[in-house]
Amino acid sequence: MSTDRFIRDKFCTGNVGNKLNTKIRNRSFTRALPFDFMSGKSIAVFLILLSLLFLSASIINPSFFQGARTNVVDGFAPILKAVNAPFQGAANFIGGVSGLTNLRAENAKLKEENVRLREWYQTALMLQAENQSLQALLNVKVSAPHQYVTAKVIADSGNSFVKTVLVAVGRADGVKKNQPVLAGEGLVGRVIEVGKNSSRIMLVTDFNSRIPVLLEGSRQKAVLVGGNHTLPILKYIPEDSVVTVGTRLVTSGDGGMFPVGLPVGRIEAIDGIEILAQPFADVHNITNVRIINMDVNPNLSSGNLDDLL
Amino acid sequence: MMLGGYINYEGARWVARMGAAQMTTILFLLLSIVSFSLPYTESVRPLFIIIPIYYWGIYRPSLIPAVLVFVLGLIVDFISGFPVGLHAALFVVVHVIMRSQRLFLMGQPYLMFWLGFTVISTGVYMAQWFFFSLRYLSLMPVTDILASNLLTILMFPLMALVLTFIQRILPPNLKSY
Repeated sequence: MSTDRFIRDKFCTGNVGNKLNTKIRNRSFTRALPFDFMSGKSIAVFLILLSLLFLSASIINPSFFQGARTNVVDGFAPILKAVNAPFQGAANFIGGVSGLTNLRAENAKLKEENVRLREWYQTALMLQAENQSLQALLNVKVSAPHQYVTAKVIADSGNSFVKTVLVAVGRADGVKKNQPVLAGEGLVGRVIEVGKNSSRIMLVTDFNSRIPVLLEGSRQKAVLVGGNHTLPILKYIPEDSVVTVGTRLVTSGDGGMFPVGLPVGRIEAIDGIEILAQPFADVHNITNVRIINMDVNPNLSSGNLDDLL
Repeated sequence: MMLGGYINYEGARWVARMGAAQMTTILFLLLSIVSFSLPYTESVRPLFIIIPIYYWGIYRPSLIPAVLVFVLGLIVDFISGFPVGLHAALFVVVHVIMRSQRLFLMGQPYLMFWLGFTVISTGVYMAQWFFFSLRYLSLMPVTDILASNLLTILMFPLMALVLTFIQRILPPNLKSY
């Protein structure tokens, strides 16, 4: 028995014969035997309408599918983690190989940096001692250092319209919505969705990202606004304030979402009225992140305000 | 007894081969959503999943029915953080286009087949761009999507080669399909 006949006999019980063959031959397009009922034109139209309905619901209320989304992400997290592992290994290998070729130049650079840092180390020790004695004199209540949850990035949006990443830690690891996230040398975003074993982080470059910052030195307050571009924009700075390229930006703590003083970035360029900032963290190459495990203000989470009223 | 064994063997082969084809589609889906852990791949990356939707849409629509295409789109939306329904709608539209154009594309030389994919891929990226520009009432950057589209188009011959191999091991469909 040929495979062809076998399939026909197995799936077309009761319909085998010339009548069916003629009927099939007359059809203008291919249909699957097991999935036949799922491919009709009316089904396609129905699915397009359903998609548009979903789309409208998620635009009107972005948290409408949040529960379903976190469940799907939680379900896929172990698979994504497994698929990401060889890529992470390859990235480490490439990093190692390219590091080898630059070894001599890097060594010279590090030696030079080491000399400079040793000088700073002495200064830091002196300042720390002075700081401690002054705090003791004034009886200052120092806030406890942050606790972190470190996580690997397992998926990203892979496009320029949505700037989010998925990490392989969730509620089970103590992650909460709105916690700040650091990568490398600075702030990279905040947690926007939390599942049991996975969380989504909105990056500082996302169109919806708004971070209250402080310009170091002048103590001028501003808001760092993402625009899906490489460099976020600094907004709401008074016209008369002096802004110079290279000024460091730290979180101001306004609004209560971020703690005060987290390093964010530096002013990269002033293009007419637009002030562009370069995040300290390498937003284009995040492989690991640190989530600050702090208590978040429950009133800042969407929906909670309605519960209070 | 012997005939029964033969049928089971044939059945197992059929399931294994169809399973291999579906696993390839799932692999393409995972490649579209997983992090590559390489610089700039978070914003510039091929949307691999369009390739099996296009390829099977022409050569074996039975492998990629509308419902499956819809589910694949929903998974992309859920995992990649898109508004739910965007890719589901786009993929089903691509599916409908493929159904109407498959007989035309089937008889074309390879370059035309590739050009067809170029049109589909560019259409998907353009639709994304229009959607987000309209949603945020601001023109979205185009450099990254141009690069992603170009990568998707350039990766197509290689990925289509994998699908051609899968197609060869697939059990034959009914004569008229």
